[in-house]
Amino acid sequence: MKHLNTIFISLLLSPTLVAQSTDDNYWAYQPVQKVSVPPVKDSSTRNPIDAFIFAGLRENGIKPNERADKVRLRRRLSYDLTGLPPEKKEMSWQELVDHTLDSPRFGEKMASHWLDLVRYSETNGFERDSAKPDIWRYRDYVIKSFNENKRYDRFILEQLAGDQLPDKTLDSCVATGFMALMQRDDEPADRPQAHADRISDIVDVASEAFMGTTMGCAKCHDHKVDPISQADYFSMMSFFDGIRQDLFKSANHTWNDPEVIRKREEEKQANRGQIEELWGGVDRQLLEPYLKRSKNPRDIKTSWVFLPKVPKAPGWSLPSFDANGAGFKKLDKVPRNKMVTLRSEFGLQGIPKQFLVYLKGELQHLQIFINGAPVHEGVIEKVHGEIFVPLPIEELTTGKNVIGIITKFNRNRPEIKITREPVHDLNGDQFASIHSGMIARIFGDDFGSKMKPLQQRRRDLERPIQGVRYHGVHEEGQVAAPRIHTRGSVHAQGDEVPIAFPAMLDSAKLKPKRNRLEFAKWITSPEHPTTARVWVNRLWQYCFGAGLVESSNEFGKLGTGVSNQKLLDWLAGELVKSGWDTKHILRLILNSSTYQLSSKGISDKDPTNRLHWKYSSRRLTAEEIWDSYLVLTNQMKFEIGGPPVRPKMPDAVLQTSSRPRNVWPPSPGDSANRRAVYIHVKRSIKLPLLANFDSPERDFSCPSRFATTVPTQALTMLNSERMNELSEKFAARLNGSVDEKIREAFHLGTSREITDGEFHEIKGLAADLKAKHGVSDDQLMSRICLLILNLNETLYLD
Amino acid sequence: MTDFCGQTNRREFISTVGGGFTSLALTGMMAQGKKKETDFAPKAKSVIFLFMYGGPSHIDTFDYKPGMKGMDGKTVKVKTFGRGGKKNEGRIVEPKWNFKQYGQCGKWVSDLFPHLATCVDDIAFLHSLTAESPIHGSAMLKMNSGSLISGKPSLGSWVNYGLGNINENLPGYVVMLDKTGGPISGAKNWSSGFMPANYQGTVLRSKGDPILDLKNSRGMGRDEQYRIIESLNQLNAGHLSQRHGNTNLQARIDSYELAFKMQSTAPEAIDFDQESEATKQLYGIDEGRTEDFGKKCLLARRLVERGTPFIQIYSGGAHNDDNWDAHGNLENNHNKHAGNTDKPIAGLLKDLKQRGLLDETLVVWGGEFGRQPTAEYAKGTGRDHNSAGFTMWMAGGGIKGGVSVGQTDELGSAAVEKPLEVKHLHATVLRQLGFDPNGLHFHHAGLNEKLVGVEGADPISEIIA
Repeated sequence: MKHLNTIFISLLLSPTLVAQSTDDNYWAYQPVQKVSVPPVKDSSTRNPIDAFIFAGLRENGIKPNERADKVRLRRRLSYDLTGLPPEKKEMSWQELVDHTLDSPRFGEKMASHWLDLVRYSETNGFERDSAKPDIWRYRDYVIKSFNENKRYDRFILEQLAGDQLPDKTLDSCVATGFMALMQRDDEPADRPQAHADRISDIVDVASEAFMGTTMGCAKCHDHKVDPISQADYFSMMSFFDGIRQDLFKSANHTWNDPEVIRKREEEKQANRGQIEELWGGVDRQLLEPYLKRSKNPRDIKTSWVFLPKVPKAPGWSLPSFDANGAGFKKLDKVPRNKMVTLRSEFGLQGIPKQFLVYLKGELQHLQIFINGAPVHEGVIEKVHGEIFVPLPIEELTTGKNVIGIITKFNRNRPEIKITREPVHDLNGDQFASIHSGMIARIFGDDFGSKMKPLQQRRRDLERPIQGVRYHGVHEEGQVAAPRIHTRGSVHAQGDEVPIAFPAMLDSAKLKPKRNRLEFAKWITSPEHPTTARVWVNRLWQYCFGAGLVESSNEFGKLGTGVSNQKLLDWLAGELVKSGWDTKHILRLILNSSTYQLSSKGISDKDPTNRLHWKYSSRRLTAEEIWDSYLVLTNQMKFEIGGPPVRPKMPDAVLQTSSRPRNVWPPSPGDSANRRAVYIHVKRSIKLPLLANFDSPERDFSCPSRFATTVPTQALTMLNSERMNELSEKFAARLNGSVDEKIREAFHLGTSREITDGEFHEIKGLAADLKAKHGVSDDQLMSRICLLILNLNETLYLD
Repeated sequence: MTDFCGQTNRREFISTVGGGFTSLALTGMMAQGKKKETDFAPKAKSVIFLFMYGGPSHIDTFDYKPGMKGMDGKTVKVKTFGRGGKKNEGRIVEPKWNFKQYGQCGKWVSDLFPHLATCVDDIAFLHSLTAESPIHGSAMLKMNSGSLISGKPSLGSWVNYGLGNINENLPGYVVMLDKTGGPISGAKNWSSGFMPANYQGTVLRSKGDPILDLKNSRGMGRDEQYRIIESLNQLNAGHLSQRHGNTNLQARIDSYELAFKMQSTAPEAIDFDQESEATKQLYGIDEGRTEDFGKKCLLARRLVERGTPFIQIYSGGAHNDDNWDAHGNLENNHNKHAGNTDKPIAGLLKDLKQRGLLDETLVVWGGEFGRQPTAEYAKGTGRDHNSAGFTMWMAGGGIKGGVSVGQTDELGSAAVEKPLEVKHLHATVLRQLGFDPNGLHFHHAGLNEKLVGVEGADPISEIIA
């Protein structure tokens, strides 16, 4: 026991191994240094990475290992890049690296790293542990971004401010889901505090994940070790605190593709043109008598109520909704220039042929719902200062109906009617809103049959475009000047703080505007001292198990320090120079000799391999184990993206939920045979195989995982329903004689040929199981497969 | 440099570095399962936390309010904050059970707990607990992990981390749930949060298979399984021989032996057959309504005898009247839950005492909060949640008996004398186990995280013997 601790302490203190400084010019907060590559003195140096690593080893008198053998290397590469066992491919190493980086499986593997980092979860936690609807689009965005090798700076920019970009896209808006991933108490004891805590959660995760800086402690007091003040913290919070609280709730966001909107507009124009052209052949004024708004217009009786905001509750425009209970007030004085919601119930004895909303005044926005269905958005026709909106009749029913309107008025007492007949002086397009039967009666059936499809088309084009719903954030309205919250309490507002970036990371002392985009641009600027370093360090970690800075979320003085700062800075420089090209950095790492060293041996000089004289063997992650078993048993469905899946949860685990019967409805059939990255992430319940193999709680940013070994893992691996079912499926996919099956199963599990000794061990087991334990021929191979799924070699990489 | 340079023991080693890189050293050490030194000589070796989920009403159980007699139905000005929000007045529901004095200390206890009342001379009552939230979700997390949000390690994880306890023959942190289901937030209540997964609670069942996957799902016999493990060990040993010095691989080989042993030690631990009829009766196992909770209490004692450091038993599960959450009919609800648990808990205290185990076993009783003195609705006896003042109690493990600390006001609506926070309760638990609650920490995200929070908390000295 003792000696390991001693070694660790000496590692931390040894100046030759770890750059750790006590002065104020702490390296991590200084600009990335331009470094020259050390002279090559070793024939196995393949690229600058080796030059840096081998120089470090020479300084410490350590010899690097030999290159690992081909079988192990290919297995290592496959798991590190795709999280899956290797496929048989006859290619050179370099080709294999490129081929594997191009695999769609690469994005899925990288996403599972990233989702740990940003504490990705699909539910809110607490009593209801309700879903974050559509949040899986964020997971798919991450996968897609890695597969497309999106520039890393853009990747971060989108997650912090994708909704504010001038060239925003659906992807960039989905990316803002990053800011909606935290747990959310829907009935907090202290609402303002809960909101402030959610905003600071964003600050904490953004600082740790993107800047490698833990800011959390500066929420309550100035950082004790790093130069981060409370003012820095609350100034950083001010970039985010315009995010609307209710938007954490559900998918309140719909993306309408500008291209689709533009196309729709063109189609409308074309339709109007066709209608005008058709009208050209007749005297449409003949319709006038039918259009005059009579002295006693056939209005439908309404009883308007309103809410001075947009209601959070779903179903507010459905007939079953309790408007009084939800705070709707009688329509009297409506606030001006503010989004308001109007609602009226009305009765119909029959469905009218036409159905119109009539409003008087200047409107800045208009959305109309009939019985919960959106029937109109945005387009406003003005006639004599009046607004006239013909609506489709399909949503109406006889009996009770509800109309809902979201709009902004410029007057306090709006006039709103719903009516069965239109007003006068319409344009051709509006004439076409008249029922086709009437048009046919006046202009003849031939004309009517030509007009009818155009009218149908017109109605279709008036329908709201079905946008893509996603779970992100946006901002609205003004927020108060940022102040320090004394000891982190929103109720103890202290001094106002200037809008600034954290001083220690901003040597230029910029004077930013208070918006997220400014903040995001600052983080992703090439001059930022930590962003590029943090990312190349993570990529290093994803290949070697540990970063050059092992505490990869903490580059500050509380962290572990850096084992090879020159290499880190060289890689950071290379990242920026390459246009923040993630795959470029990975290619450099994977093609280095350092990555390809064998994992054998121990060294007294560097027992924990900080200097990379070997490859550090590692256990597969929970997800890699899950995925490998689906591949080995030939069950994996390689489909990318979509809503999450729920594999069968053992009954005993369901019983730990407060809602045992409906907490985890299993996905039907074999539809859950997907990669673990697609398994539903629910805060209150987790599959035991994932929980036992250290899949982290997604409540905080998790930069690297523990790898614990406890007997309860072995119980699950030997006894569980899932493992035994997997063993049976594994056995079923094997071909040939028993001997051939043993060889095939062993090869699938370990990626190598079985040795004679191993073969005889398994044959001996098979004989004993049959002779002494009465295992039938049918069961025999699944027992052997269970053994193979449990082998250390199946679960470890080296 | 910071103080972590001075960290010389194993738990600090784990916490400072964290992450996969250290797994090599970490799992190697875990496999050896060495116990760690504590800060002080421990008074308690084990903790049994009896969690009355849903929130028992303090003024109907242990917090005697004679002044409320005759006030039933009166509307009084009193500030309350519960599920139904903040109110300034309400209709009094007077305590629905009679109180009597018990023991040498003369403690007033309601008729809900006739058996437990005979143990009051061994119990220290804490009448002035406060929790930050009167809402189940966050209050549960608070009581279990010291934080209103999830992600922090729970009390049992801290205890096992502090002790350096490693699951060997039995898990070191055991949770027994109600038959109606788990509490709100499920596994978050026994999560190890940002600590390694080996510190998380293991759910133990008093019926059937006690631990998940303890029995082979295909009915594989023990001999057959051992034969497979033999071959597994052989093949793993061959693999290890070419990877000399890899302690992870050795740890994993060992874990199969331990798992194999656990398959016999765990069923043995829950096998009550060896217990005498008198013992079973003491826990109420012979009576229908107390059988379930009685078995869990007896199981807890058997685990204490086997060295399990932390055991939590839930009274109540799921939602509404399946637990102590008496919003509707107070009498039905509390008669049910108190009636199911009174005798078993009294039996547990008496049994521990007669076996000389109570001195080293700390028993904690309470819910995530208490209940209001006023009615929640216009009609009925239901009480809303109250986190401004409520009662918990502790017994054994170096805790004074027959004492009461703190007071609520004359209605029991808020703590007025020596208000205590959840962290003081946690600090007391850690202190009795031999830890300095302000010293036991885990480095996470730039902070030396403590169960008792950044500002720390001292144990409740009045109840420490």
